[in-house]
Amino acid sequence: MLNQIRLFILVFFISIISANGTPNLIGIGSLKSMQTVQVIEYSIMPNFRYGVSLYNPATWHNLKFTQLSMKYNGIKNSGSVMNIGSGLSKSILIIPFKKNSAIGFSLEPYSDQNISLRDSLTEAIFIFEDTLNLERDYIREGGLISLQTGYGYKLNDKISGGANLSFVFGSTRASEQLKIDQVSTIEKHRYNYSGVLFQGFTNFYFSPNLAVFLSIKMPVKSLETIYQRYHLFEDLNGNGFHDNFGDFPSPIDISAPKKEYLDEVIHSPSEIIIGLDRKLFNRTRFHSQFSKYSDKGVIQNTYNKVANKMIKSSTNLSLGLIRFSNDLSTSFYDRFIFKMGFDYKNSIITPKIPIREFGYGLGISFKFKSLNNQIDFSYSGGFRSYDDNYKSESFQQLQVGLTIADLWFVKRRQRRNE
Amino acid sequence: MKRYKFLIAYSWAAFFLVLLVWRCQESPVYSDLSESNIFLNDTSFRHIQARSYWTSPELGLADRLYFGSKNNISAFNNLFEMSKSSSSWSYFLDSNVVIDSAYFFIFSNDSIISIDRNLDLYFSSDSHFSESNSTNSDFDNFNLSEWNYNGFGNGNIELDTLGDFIKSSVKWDISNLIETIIDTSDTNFFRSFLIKYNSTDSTFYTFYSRQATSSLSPQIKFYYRFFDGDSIDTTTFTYYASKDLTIIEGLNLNVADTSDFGISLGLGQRMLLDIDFSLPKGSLIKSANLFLFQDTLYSNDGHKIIIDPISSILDTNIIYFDTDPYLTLGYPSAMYGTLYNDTLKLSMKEFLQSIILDNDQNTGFKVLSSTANDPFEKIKFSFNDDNLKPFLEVIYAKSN
Repeated sequence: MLNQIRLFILVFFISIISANGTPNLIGIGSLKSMQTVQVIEYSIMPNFRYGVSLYNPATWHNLKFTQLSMKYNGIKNSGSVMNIGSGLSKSILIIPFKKNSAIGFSLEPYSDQNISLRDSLTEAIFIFEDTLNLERDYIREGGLISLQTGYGYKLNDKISGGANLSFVFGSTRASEQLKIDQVSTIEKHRYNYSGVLFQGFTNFYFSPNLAVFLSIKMPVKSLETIYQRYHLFEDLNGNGFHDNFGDFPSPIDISAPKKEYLDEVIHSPSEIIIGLDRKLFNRTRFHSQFSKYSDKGVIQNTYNKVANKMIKSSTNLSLGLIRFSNDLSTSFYDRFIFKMGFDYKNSIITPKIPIREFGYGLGISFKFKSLNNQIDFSYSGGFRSYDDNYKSESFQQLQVGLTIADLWFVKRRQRRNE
Repeated sequence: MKRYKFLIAYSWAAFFLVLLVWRCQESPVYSDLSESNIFLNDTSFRHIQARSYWTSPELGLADRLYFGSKNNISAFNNLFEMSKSSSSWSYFLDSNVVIDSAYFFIFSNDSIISIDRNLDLYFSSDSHFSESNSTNSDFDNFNLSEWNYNGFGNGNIELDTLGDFIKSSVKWDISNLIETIIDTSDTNFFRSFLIKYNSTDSTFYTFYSRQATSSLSPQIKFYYRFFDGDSIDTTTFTYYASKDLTIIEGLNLNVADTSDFGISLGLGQRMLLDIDFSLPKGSLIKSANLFLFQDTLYSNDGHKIIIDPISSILDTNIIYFDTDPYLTLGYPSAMYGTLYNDTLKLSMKEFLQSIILDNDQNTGFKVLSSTANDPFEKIKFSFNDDNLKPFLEVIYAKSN
């Protein structure tokens, strides 16, 4: 198990990457929690297995064994151009105690900022009896990661509660390029972020047929930014980096950029999520989740002139059906979990540009071995349209997950002959 | 159970296969980037002032030796100094070595050398000079009374088998000096030669100095025999000059002419340039070209000019100095340009960028003629003609 944990962590850090899409340009990038159909993936209602959601600590006490779960996804964005990216999307370790509480640690991407923009217009200017052709590019790389600690506790058979503390951190490397007759003049920027978010959960189990799930997310410490602005340079060797030999001026002639604390809150999210879990048939449940997201952050020009838009608010309605496995059955077919769902999202990005997004998703999971290890596959897709500036785009996402379970904190009886 | 193990193993394999072979595609998204931070700007600086000053000419490092007069500059004497090292000369003290003859040579790429008989060679054992530090003023009231006359030269023109010119040379027989030259007993002994051009006509000749070439440097060649038992080896040995210098004479400077904005190697004339400019902090110089125009009366295309930033300000009205008092930054800050079509277009990009980065200061520039130039040329720049006034054109990128 420890070797597997090490492997997960290694692979996670080398492969956080995602597709180049317009949402990545918005503010601190596209939030991972908004990239897929909620009831299929980011649901506070039990969708991982019966009674358990990986995103709701208040459901974790229903796990019988310690779980280590890792998910990997690939995203394809098709707007004016097509982009494909992939990376690990979640890694979580959940340790249940005495069937009434659980603690969990997870690491997952929070937002994706990878974007490469090219100016739709090229410009020719006449200076000193010479015509210069200008082109502009903007490249942003990086993103934010969320390191989370969650705790859930079962108060009684009707109510359980939980909390999740999320340390959000990361960095961005932005590069603005002005190509003058094919020679790039580049200015690089570096942003380091840190913030702490809190999310509380309360689950109400009114009957085996009906449960209501509530969650509130709020910032404990809004996202703060340390900013470094590097001196302009001519990328004479065309490799995009500021090299000692070949580029002008040489980095050794330039003093190191000052680290500047940006006295502005660029991301301060709050969200209310309400979920309704209703039993339809035997092991088949209907999920509906409504969420209202808002961000009090303000992106000013000191932060970034190009990526100066942000999602101010978003309303999401997600509906889905889930058929859980039967743990008591020996049938191969009964070991599968099936999911399907639809998502509608209405967001506003500054300055008052509405985005509408419709998504759909399918998921299938297979449980194996006595400790209920699990393999998950999910597919989601959809399209979003912008009322202004941007054209509509479609997206597709494929996710693979693997969960391994083990029994911890239980003394095993020794055999007599040992 | 076996079925599950099989499934787990293949799931892991499939998972890592996806991880390895998934090909990301990163195409740029086209967008309006007109609000980008970086913009391009251009500006011209025309407030440029100049002042000439003179130093005693320093021709020790020039790659030619000069004889004759041109443009009111005269050079009649050239000095040479052979190596002082006694170890190489002492070889000829060996009793097995017999020197048959010795000659002093200078070479030229000029095929019309007709002054050989007007070139007199002198020798001195106690005269010496510094190639890099000796200036013309060191040779004021110079006379040859303590030098030993050794005769006039003999010219020779070397042609290849097709009859094409290869090189010309002038040589002097110095066999009479052999015993003196190879004497290594006196450690304070100099082997200095002087060639005097004894004609006052308007002809003008150049020869290679030691800075121009090694094999055709001024040299002494010994023809000798080496006796080794019964065998006799007849061969030659060449000593190359370790220093050489042309002495400029009869300078008739009109230093009172304040409108004389020029440079000349032979006259020792240099110029101070003051360019009044300021550029925004953080900007990146894309190009910075200084334009200086030569007075239309002159034509010196190909003249190489150095503009060297001054490192310290000197507050003085004196315009004639024995040695140049204006210290400069030198390489790599010094800028180099060549005159074409009476125009000097010189890139100041790197130096202006270093000023923006606070690595250097704009305390003025020294303009001087490269030692590779003909010292008898003079460049006169125009500062008063409205159409030919100097200017500095700068294109820079700036971020908001």
